Order: sequence, then C-alpha cells, then structure tokens
Amino acid sequence: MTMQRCTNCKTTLTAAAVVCVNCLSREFENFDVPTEGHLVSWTTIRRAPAGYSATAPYNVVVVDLAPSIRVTGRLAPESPPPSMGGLVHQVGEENGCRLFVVAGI
Amino acid sequence: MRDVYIVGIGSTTFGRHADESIESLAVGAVVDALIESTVDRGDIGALYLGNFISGPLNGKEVLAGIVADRIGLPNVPCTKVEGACASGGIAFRHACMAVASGEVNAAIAVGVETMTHAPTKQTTAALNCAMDNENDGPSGLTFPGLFGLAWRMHADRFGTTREHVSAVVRKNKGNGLHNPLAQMGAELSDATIADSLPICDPIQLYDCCPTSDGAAAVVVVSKAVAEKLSATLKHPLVQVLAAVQTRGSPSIGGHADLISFDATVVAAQRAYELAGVSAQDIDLVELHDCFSIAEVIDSEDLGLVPRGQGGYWAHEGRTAVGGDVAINASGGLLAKGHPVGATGLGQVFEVVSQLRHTHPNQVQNARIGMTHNLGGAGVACTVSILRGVQ
Repeated sequence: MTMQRCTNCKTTLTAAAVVCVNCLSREFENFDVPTEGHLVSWTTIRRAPAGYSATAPYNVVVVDLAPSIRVTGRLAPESPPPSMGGLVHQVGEENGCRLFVVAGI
Repeated sequence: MRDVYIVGIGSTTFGRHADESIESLAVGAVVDALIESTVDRGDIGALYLGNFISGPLNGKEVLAGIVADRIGLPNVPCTKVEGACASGGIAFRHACMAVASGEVNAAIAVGVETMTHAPTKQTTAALNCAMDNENDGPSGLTFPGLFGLAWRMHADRFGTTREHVSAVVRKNKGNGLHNPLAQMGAELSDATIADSLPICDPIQLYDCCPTSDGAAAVVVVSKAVAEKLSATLKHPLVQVLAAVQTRGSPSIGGHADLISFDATVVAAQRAYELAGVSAQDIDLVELHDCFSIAEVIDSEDLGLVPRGQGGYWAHEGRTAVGGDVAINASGGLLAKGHPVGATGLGQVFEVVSQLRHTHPNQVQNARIGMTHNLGGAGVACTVSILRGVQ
C-alpha cells in the first residue's frame, strides 16, 4: 500500500492534502507504507450513516501503521474480533476506505 | 482591549418546536435578551448569529440579516458564523470582540438551530458535514462512533467503566429535571442506562444528546454602557473575563491522542491566562457533553479534573451541584438538548443565570463560571470565563 508525501520535505500527507502542510509545496510523491499496524481503538457502528446501512453493524478502526501514520478504516466482515493494541493487516480498499483484518494468533 | 459585560440574556426552551420557523425562534431569544438589557435597538452596533445547517435543513441562509430585519435593527453588520457544534460559542466570542475592540458599544450574539423539522436521515447527513469526509468519512464513521473510539481508549488507559460514565448520564439527566428549558430531564438507574439501545459500542442511547430545536441570545456592552445601564437593570452585571477560540484537527488521524482534544486544552489555557484565574477558581462549568464520555474528556482537558479521573469524579459526586466543581448544572447537552448552533449561547445563558444567583438549579455562592463549546471532531472550540459582579 502507498501514501503520499511531499517531494520537497518528505512530510507525510493525507489523501486530502492540497499543499504540503509543512512547506506549502504542491509536489507530492507516493511511498510504500506498512500494511501491518497496531489497533489504537475501534467502535462497532450499529446506527450507520446513509449509504452504509446495508453494511452495519461494522467495526471502524483507528490504526497506527507507523509512528507518525495514523489512519481510519474498517474491519473486513471476515476478520476475527479486535483487541486493543492488537496487530491488524490491511487487506484492501473499498470506496476510499482501508479494510483491515485482525492478524491471526 | 476594553472590558465587556453581559446585560441581557434570552432563550427558548430546547426541544421540539414543530410549528415555529428558525428565524422566529431566534427572534424570540433576541427580543427577550434586548428587553432585559434595556439597550435601545438603535445602539446595537453588530449582530453575530451562530448556526450550523440552516442551509441543508431549512433551505435558509443569510439568517443573521433576516433576524436583524425581523426585529428592526439598524443597518449594522450582521454576520452568520459557523463552526459546527461550536457555532454559538463563536458568535458569542465575535460579539465580545466587536465590543472589546472599540468598534461598537453594544452587540448581540444569537445561536439557533431547528433539527426536528427534517427527517432524521436528512438531519444525520447534514450533521455528518462536520466530519473530515475525505479522511474519515469513507470508513462509515459517525460522531457517536468517534466518541466510542475515545471511550474505549479512555477505559483502556484509565480503567473508566460503564458505571463511571453512567454517573455522568444520571447526573446530567437529573440536573435537567430542575431546568424548565431542558428537553429531557430524567431520573435514570444504572440498569436502565446499561440496558439502553446500543448505538456504537460502547456508546448506548442514553449516552447521546438528543436532536433539538432552540435559540439563545445575549447582549454584550462596553463598561461605559454597562455602568450607565446598571441603574435600570434588574440583574447584576456579568463580566466577560475571557472569550477564546481555537482550532484543532478536523480528522481522527490528526489528533495526537483521542482521549484529549488539543483545541480544548489550548483554549482553556489561554482563557485562564486572559482571565487571570486558575481552574480552582471555577465554581461551575457548562461544557460540551454531546456524548457522556465527552464530559469526562472535556473536564480533564479544561484542567478541572486530573487527567484520567473524569469518570471517577463523576461517580464520586464531585462534579454534581454541591461538589468540587459543578459540571452541567443545566443538564448539559445530554438533558437540556443540543440545537447545534444555539448550544454555545445556551451555555452562556445558563452560566449568567448562575452568576446572577437566579438559576433553578443554583450552585451556591457561584462567582466565576466557564463555558466550553466544541465543534466537529475537535476542529473548533470556544471557552469563555465569566464573573458575576455582585
């Protein structure tokens, strides 16, 4: 999996970045990020927003892929149950959302 | 900067106002505040209106000018401000700044929202506009979900339990029973709360504030005007010692830690500094308990409760009226209701009533009070510190 960063100063940027928040450059490049990370927290959404009702209930997760890379995503339906601090793997992406599964014990 | 005083307050009840238009609610609150203030309409130099989603929900914009027009204000600047759930607090701060800067001698701040007029799905979709929909939206996260994430981290780190958080719910719902403006005061048991509908684990139905209609307004003036009016005013003056606004991250990934909102921490620090008081001096606070766990986090971020102790303090009754610091004596958002754009001004209304010693759920000897209004995923925050001039 890749994310983008500033070509000039290498600051990691979110997909929503328009300019680099550090140096205001508009030149970005992709770089590889780990697909494995630690689960920071999760919540089970039972009352879903429009467009997600068919998917509910589902687990939204916050994952630290690296010390300065914290992302939100969703647990894939087939994932084992989550636990705080546990390892998760990114297995894909669906409509701009990272999909994770809890790593097997 | 000049000193700023609050001389008039007005508020509708918070709850369902099915037959009243959004501008009618705002006008009602403004007129009450104006009449109480005894300020002549011709002397009002500016109006700031806090509102979040009148466009998508009511199909109405330029609300500040519309409200001013309906009450016959002169041709002064009228501005709608928006910061999601912090819109009301931002309107208050702007009115204070207009007076403090010397630009005007009297200003109105009003907050208003109607949320029950539209179908729930439409309201939910409109509220979700306050999320960072590029970064966090695609996961299917909701605002209750954000606080579900925060709760789990708080529990993991500090041992906060369902029972601790239920103490916040019981307190605020109980306080709401004393407040005639409140939407849903109630006497709840731990079992009722723990058995309520799961929304997004660990958040359950009673952990969530309701959707509401309502408006609240204040009139702020310079010291010279306040002194001139004090002979005709029926209530003591309330001085604005600080009215601070800050920005935090709009997205989950931007927060260093989900059990704390930087925008609140920084706003509180600046407010204490400006007001020349410390957290120990605060007798009462109206803070942004959009969800029960939010009160735990906010009370810690504001420095009123030691980090990690928010749940424990609530459980021990230390944040009740008569405790170490009275948190949400009004019932807070959980019981009083949360007409988004009105909430920040509703908080000012409550604190002013307390500092005048006329509140229906009065904190004894209240001298210094605080308000805290937080918008989005912590992207906008206001904190004010007010002092009763007894």
